[in-house]
Amino acid sequence: MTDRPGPDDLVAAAAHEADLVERVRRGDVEAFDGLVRIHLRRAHAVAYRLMGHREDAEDLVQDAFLAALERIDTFQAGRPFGPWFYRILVNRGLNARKSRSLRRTDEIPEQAPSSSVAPDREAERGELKARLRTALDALPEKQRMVVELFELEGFSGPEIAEILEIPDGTVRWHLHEARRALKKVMQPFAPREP
Amino acid sequence: MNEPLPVPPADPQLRSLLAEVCPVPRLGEAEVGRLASTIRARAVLPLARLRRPDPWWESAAGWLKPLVPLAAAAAVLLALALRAAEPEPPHVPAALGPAPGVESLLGSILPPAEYELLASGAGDAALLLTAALEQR
Repeated sequence: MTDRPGPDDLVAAAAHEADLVERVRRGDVEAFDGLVRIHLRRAHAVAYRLMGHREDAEDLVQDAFLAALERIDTFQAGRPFGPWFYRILVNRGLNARKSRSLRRTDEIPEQAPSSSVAPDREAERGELKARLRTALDALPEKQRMVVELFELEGFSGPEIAEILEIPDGTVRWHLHEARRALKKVMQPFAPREP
Repeated sequence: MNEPLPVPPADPQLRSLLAEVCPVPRLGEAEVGRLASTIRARAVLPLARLRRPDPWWESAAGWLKPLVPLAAAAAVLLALALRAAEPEPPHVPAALGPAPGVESLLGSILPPAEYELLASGAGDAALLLTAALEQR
């Protein structure tokens, strides 16, 4: 899990990013490189969530950065770069997913179970995860994306609204609905009070 | 009125379970460097285009663009004003046709000898014409 930065850090980061964007508009290679490095890891994670394959995710990240550069003149100065860029990435990812046959989804090896956890608890946790995955797969595509962006990639509600081009209230509604569905699955596995 | 839904509070247990259920390969330093270099190499040309100053016609086109509708409106007004200032052409009834020439008129009225006398200016024009009209 990532530590969330404080308000001062966010202000400083936003000012730095705005400066980089202005320099990129003038064709500054170093500024573009700086902007890429700020967003690369998160962009790759979001791209991977969309494409389900490492190389497809890398292709998408490259395309999204170059597309953002091509239309940097349309970026509204003074607004945060992140949501604008991730909107490009998500739109391109959704289009790519529709238009081409993707490589097989990567199987990421699960972490080895801790030896300190009792085998029956481990089995229960495995069962819970399996049910959670089924419930997650059953969510509507947009709802699942909202959950993953919010819970796993740390985007705020307004940022997700801008990325997915939906109202802020709709994002919160998706979050509540998804939470309700996922909690229902988790309920039987909740630790019982002694 | 309905209260807007608040953002649901953080749920660390759900978050950690989801992270296990939907794992994502995180990029290491070396992978970040490799991918960033690839993107940088592909961005060289677009960045060079951004560094190149606009040719004069592109900047001129930029500030001329808002003038296009004004120019079109001015042209229409000018055309209307010129049309209003133009004098009306004299009204000629189409049925009358062109007026016959004086010479051919006199030639048809006067006998040839008197016409020649009139044309040479030797005879009394009024007298000759009156006599000719009376004969007809």
